[in-house]
Amino acid sequence: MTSPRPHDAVQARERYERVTALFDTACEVNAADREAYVDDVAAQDPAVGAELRSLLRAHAQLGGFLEAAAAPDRIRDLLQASLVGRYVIRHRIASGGMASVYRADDVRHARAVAIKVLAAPTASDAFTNATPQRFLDEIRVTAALQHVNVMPLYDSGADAGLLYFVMPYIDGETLRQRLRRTGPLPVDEALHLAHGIADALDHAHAKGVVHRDLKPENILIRDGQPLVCDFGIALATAELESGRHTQTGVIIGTPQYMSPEQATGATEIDARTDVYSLGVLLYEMLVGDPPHVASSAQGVLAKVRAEQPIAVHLLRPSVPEDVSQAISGALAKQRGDRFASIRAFRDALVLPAVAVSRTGASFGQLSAGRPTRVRWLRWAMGGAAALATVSAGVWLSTTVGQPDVASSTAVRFVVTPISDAAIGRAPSLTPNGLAIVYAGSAATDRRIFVRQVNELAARPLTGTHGALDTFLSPDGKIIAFITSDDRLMRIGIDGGDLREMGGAFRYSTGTFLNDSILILDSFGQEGLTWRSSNGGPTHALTQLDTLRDDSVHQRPFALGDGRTFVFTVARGRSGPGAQGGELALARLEPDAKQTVVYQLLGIDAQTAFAYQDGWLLYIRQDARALMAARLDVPSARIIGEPVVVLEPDGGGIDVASLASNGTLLYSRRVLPQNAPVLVDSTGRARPLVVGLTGAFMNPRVSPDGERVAVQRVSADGTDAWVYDISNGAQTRVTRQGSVLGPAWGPDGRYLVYASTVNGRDALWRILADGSGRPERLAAASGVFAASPTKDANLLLFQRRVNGVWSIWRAPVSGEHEVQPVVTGTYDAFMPSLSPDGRWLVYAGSQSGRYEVYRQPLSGPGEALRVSLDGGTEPAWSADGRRIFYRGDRKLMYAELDESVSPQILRRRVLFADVFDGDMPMPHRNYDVMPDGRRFVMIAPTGDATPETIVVLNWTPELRERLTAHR
Amino acid sequence: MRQRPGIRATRQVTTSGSVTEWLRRAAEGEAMAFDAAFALVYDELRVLARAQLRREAEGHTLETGALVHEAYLRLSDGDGSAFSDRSHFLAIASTAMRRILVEHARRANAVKRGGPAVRVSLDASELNYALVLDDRETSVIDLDEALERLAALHARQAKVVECRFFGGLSEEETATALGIGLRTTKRDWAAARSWLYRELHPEELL
Repeated sequence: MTSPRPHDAVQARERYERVTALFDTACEVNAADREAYVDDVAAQDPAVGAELRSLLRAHAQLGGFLEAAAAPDRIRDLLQASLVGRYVIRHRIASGGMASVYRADDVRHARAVAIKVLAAPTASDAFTNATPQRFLDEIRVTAALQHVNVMPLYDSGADAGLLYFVMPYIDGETLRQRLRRTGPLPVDEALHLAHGIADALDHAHAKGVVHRDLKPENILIRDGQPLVCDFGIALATAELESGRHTQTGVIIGTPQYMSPEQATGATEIDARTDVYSLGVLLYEMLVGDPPHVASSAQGVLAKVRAEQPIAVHLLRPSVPEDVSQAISGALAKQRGDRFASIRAFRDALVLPAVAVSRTGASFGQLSAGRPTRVRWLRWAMGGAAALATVSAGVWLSTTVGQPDVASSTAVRFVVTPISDAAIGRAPSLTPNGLAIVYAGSAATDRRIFVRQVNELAARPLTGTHGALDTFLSPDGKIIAFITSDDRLMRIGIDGGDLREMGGAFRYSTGTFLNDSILILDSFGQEGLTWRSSNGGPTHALTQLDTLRDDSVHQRPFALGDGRTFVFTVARGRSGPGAQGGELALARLEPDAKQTVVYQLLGIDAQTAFAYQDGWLLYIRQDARALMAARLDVPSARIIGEPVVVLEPDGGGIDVASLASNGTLLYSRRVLPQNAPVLVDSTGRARPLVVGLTGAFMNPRVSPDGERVAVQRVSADGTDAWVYDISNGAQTRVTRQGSVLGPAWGPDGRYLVYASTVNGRDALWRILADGSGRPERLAAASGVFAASPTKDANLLLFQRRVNGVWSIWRAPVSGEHEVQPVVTGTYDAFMPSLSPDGRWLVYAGSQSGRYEVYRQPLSGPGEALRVSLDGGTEPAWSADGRRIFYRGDRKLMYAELDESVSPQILRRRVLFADVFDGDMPMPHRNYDVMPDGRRFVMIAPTGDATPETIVVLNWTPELRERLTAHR
Repeated sequence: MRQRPGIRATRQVTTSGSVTEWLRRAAEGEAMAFDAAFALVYDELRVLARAQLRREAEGHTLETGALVHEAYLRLSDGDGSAFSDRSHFLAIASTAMRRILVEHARRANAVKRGGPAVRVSLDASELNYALVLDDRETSVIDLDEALERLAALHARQAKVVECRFFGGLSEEETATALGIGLRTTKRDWAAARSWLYRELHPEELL
């Protein structure tokens, strides 16, 4: 895991070094003593112990992970040697644990086959508990199975320490792959598959064969028909693996699919074990997860043994209650309470249209089968309690009794933070209200997590590192997200189908207009844009109305009809990161060729978040209340007065979402905490002022290197503060509350900054010790951040005009006439002057991405591109020979020599820039000390973890509010 | 996508000078020489990889180790002498191989998602196929990213994985390439694999 701060990074490295050393030792001690060894370690340092334990667990499950690919394929060679003349072994299709599957050609019959091979990694491990013959006897029985839903077995054998099974090569996907690809299946499809699997099992049971290891990996789907694989092989696999794992003392397998009798280690397994496992499979097909999920195998097994799963129809209301009850019946803990045969279970799985009325279903467990409320409550009780023990949950579910599911009372709770999956940004509910999707915190590499509303565990989605904001497709199957390196990506909610859709600006917000169209704001550059959710080019969607001084269109929200959307229009300087604006409504027709016309709705909001029964729900602009306004879409008009529907204490509402099942989620912002730090040229950081934290931005070192001016956000607004590096003394320099981008005058006596006073944007000057009154210099709308020249006569600054950043200049004295320096249709900002005053560096987007350019401040001369693969936030070294910049999430520099050609001598990376934070800032957020070797940066000290509140069954309360108002 | 800065900039430099020469200079600490050597080895490996994939029958896996060794022979042949610094070559070749594989995987992904209408020959998708590491569908790209994170924690372990997995080097060769002991190599390999497994398959570790 990467950490946000270098001293943390160093700590993480040191800790990992320690864990690695312990890991080496643990691998060397006897398996029998290993557990005790780990316990010892854990007793001294629980965190290190846990880390060690999880590494050992991974080690025990590795199989041929990486190694198989790294080393020549020994097994393939052995197999080919054994089967020469009969089969030509092609490539490996799959491998895991001790089994590998190869694609091969059956020479005699000229057909494609798949060969599953069980191999012990070393000779000493080989089949300690049984001889291959025993497995082959078992196989012989199963080879007699002939059923359209049973994967046929062509051949089998044992040779050279290998057990192999030859099957037809089927071009299909496993149920696991299918679930990963699409998430839960349509109800009728799930039932159809369950029927096929049941038929296969029924056939096998009649011949006395129990499968024992049904799981999604063992079901192959071809042309919509299931094929049950691995009859009989399951036993060999299980024995082989348990033989291996009793040595290391680690449980392996797939506990989620084990029956309670398997989980308690019962030796007698009968057909009802398969009934249970098919119940689990169907449950997972319908809900997306197996009934029992926990963060450890022991946790799962404990739940399998003791806990009643939540009934399927409560999690997915479209599942008929009969089907849900049948599944609960199959999942009964006691075999005697389950269906007596797979056929009986199959017959109970019917859709209502053809359902025969059944009364008196004989599952003793059903009465205790719906501990819904209990689970909510348990979840709400807090991470520590809920993580602590499964037994607490069991106790609750057996003593609290049946909840009143139909109650109209809303249940509220704060989402318990999970330490290793804390919510970083923008949590939202899936449209069905069953899960929360969010980007994790910095400590989790900002992966996307999916957390079932009724579960404690959050599941990270692989490949989503750096995710900042997420938004969901209307069907809830696709998550689109924007990463910290400015890519727009998408991934299935099941974690599959990860793709890149193109570039995006880091702080963009977006919405799915429908399943195929995605609307994004482009950080206010050109209004909103749209693109296909399959990628492809970006199209302009709305245009900034320059007459009305639109500065940014953002936070689009689709109304759900597939065409209409609302968004906020901010005006004036409110640049990137602007909070809210006036709501506007527009429509994208399917054949739209150009930008659309939008209608202002006359209400100010942070963002709209739901549209139900003619009411548009939105977060009020002051972020203190959720509002509802009657919106007539055809006329694009708000009817009547907006109504406050929720007003939580403290305000700060950041995001909200309302799901179709009536669940509301909203989160409250907490100011990000950070601290100015002094970083050396290797990336090591120490606090600039010990103990100082707050919300800081844009540090600037005084010319003598003794003080740092910085923009600080506090309850009173944003002002310039100065800190003395030697003693930490602080001075609040300004009191205007809207101060941006303070910069030092060349003599270090005064600061220049931008501020909006009485609605007018201007540049100001003030003495840096806070004495005296601010003096207004040049007025210009959209001005942000200035950089005084050395002779103190000229100010260089950036402005945002018509949604585009440009660089301007104005004399300090006299009429302050404002003149353009770099303007165009692209962004040019973050200007910085060379120490000799001749050269200007800035970040510009003329090439389509942000790069650093250098050009003469005045006179002719072309812009020289300084950065190579993207760069922003340029700064000069004091000797003018180096230009520092950020690129590729690293702090880099380019070394220049004007007397030679090419003038750029080299580019170097100084250190991976872990301080490139989340704050949307079009301004350089660090500065270089006069020695050119140290930097003042802003390091996050804690994530701005939003507080997330879930309200179950909120809609009745909402209706009440709206009716009362009318 | 992450770029490795500097490589493109130095590409033109590499048209002159032998790999041996660049390697020697790189060994002496000349930073640009490293980039130059890398670029040469990278180009050579890429050509070899493509050729091998075209040559081999469908479904054949890419023997990265064989490629690295072949590249070694070819590049040293040009000089008529063996590299004085074979270890350095192996390390560089492993890094280059990693990049080639990751780029191929990215391209194959782009093709799969119906990306740019560039016709990518069979080899790209085959290569990606060969690199499906196990039935848990780890992608090379995920592995590459995870490896980057491991490097932040323990650079040497990450290097060992690069040599062993991407470079196809044996444990002995890895030890030589990185100038570390065989025992350290084995330990790093075991720890790194475990760490990566946990990183890439958290759901398996119940």
